[in-house]
Amino acid sequence: MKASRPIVVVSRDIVLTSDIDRLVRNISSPLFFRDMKSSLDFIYNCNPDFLLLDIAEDRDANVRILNDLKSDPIFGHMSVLAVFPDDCELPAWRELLADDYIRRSMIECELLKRIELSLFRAERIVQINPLTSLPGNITITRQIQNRLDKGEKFGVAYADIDFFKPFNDRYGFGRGDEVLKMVGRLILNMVKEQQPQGSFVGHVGGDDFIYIMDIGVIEETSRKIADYFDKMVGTFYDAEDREQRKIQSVDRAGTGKTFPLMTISIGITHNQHREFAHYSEISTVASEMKHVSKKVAGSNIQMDRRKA
Amino acid sequence: MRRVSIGDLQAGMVVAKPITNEAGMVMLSEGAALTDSLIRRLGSMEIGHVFVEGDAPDAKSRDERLADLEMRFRKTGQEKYMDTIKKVLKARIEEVYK
Amino acid sequence: MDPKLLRAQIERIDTLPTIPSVLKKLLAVIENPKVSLTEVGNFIQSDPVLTSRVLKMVNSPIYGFPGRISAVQQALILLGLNVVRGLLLGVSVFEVMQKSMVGLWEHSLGCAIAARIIAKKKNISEPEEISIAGLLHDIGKVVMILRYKEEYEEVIKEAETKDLLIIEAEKSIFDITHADSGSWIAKRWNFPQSLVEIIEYHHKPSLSRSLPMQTAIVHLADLLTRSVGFGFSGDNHVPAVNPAAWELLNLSDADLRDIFDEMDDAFSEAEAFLIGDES
Ligand SMILES: [Fe+2]
Ligand SMILES: [Fe+2]
Repeated sequence: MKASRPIVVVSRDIVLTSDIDRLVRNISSPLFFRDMKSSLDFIYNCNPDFLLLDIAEDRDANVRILNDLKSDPIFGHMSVLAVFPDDCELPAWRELLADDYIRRSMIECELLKRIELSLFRAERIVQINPLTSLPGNITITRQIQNRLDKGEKFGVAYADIDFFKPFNDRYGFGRGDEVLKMVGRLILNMVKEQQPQGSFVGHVGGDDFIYIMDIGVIEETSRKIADYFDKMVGTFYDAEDREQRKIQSVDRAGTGKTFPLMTISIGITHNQHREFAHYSEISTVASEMKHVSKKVAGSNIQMDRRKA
Repeated sequence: MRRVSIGDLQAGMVVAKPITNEAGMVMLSEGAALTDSLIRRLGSMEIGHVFVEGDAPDAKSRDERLADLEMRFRKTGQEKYMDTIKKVLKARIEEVYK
Repeated sequence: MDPKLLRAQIERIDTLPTIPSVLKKLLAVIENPKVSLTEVGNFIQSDPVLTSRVLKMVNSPIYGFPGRISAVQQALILLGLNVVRGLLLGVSVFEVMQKSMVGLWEHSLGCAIAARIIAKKKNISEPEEISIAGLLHDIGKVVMILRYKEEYEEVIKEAETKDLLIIEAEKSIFDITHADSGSWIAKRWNFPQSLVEIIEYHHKPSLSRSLPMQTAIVHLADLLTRSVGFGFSGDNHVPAVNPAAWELLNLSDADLRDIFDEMDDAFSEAEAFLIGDES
């Protein structure tokens, strides 16, 4: 199987790079960089599928940049193969976000097959939403259930876009997808900015998103998400619609109607004051809150304050 | 508010923006009046400029500023609407020196 | 030179250099773990090169909404701090802008400030977007200096000896102007159409079809920044204002006086910021 995009090789070792060049020439044209830092411009612009990182030199700086990259879902599914010197101890994998590793002396006989395998494996992974690169339902369920099982206290928010369907009907799916991608990035980055550790963002499907955060920050973060959504959504409309702040489209029955610009509704629940045993209970309440939120005109958030 | 380089500070000037050291610590807050000994101490720090209250008794004189203006507008000052812009700018300069 | 060839070569430019002192300060800002996106955004917004890098990135097809985002703050939210950090780490550092045309950076910043002030005066709904257009209006000069260093030095010399405007000298040596090259690169990088159009017509605002008002604002901002002598655009005299643009803006003498007052205040603040970089 051939790599569709060039593979990236980060190494300063001349012998290693020339070996790699020779070995992979038939499946891809590799691009060589001396360190992660200098490869970033290329990675950002081309989003390659495969990266080979030589761990021998500049280890700390390279690994730090790599981990930052891998924690962004857009670049997260780039397969990373770490090359270790034969005598080098292996690190804790949570400190090096690689997908696979190989010893230096095994390059000659194994490299090609390893690359093929990881490209193939990447193709099979379907748990992430292809539009937003965010984790889908299986992961979402697991995330929430795990936390419940561990007895953690946390907040769950359901977000959904109002008047998304008429927008889609008016401008087509392509434009609708753009909005979903924007919302995915907006929620992800807002959540990660407000709570870098222990938060989670998933894409349920369609225009439904979910995120998990600490109870103390989830309401404020949701408000910020709604604010930014309102600021940004205008640019997805054509100029006339944006100025009039409404569009002509059709309702579910197919009759022509006027709709306002899209807004976002967010419903939040948490287990501070009451217990949830199962994922489905918490998701039911969160989506109830979202429905309350949807009844209010404009972008809106609703926090669950009930105690029983 | 104007910017004065360390060498040109004089006792009696009033600090208009907090002066911080390299670590970001405020050494002198706004409103502080400078004395000779303070100026000497500032001189020993790695600071190039200080902001002090008051409009500059500009390094440039009124005539110099008007000459600069003439120079900038020498080719287009007569053109449509440019005379308006020039006139407003000229009046502003003259006002400062009144 | 053949405009087609020029365009092809200019479009091949992938990255713009930025000024080391700005970068140094930015890295200090960004390495601070407590930094907020707003702080980073304010910082990036003061540099045309950093701004165009960020906009290029957020409008790249990888993220899936090309040509939509023209505000730095929104771009940062959508990219995320890690990406921005990486973006800036990967910046290759030259001093082109500063060395080849001392003062162009200040000129750009001045124009951004003036554009925002005029936009507010005219009650335009998105003054920040016009401000970005002001910041980037002369980006074409940067790409030309970058790609054709020697030829551009000739432009500067020609302008000086024959007492021409830079844009006139560009035309005589290149056949194209920085307004052309700037709009090409902006289009190539998927900047929103509104930005492309303002960059393209900032010297001929009456040709702008969909954004006559916004383009007129940047045109006048450019001119007012020069007329008070803030920064250096490459020209030692102020070009004439486009009469149609002036009439469209319809500013009274009092409006103009207000605008100059606000510019004065904002410029002295900007200067404080610029000086902060030297340390
Ligand atoms: Fe220009
Ligand atoms: Fe300019």
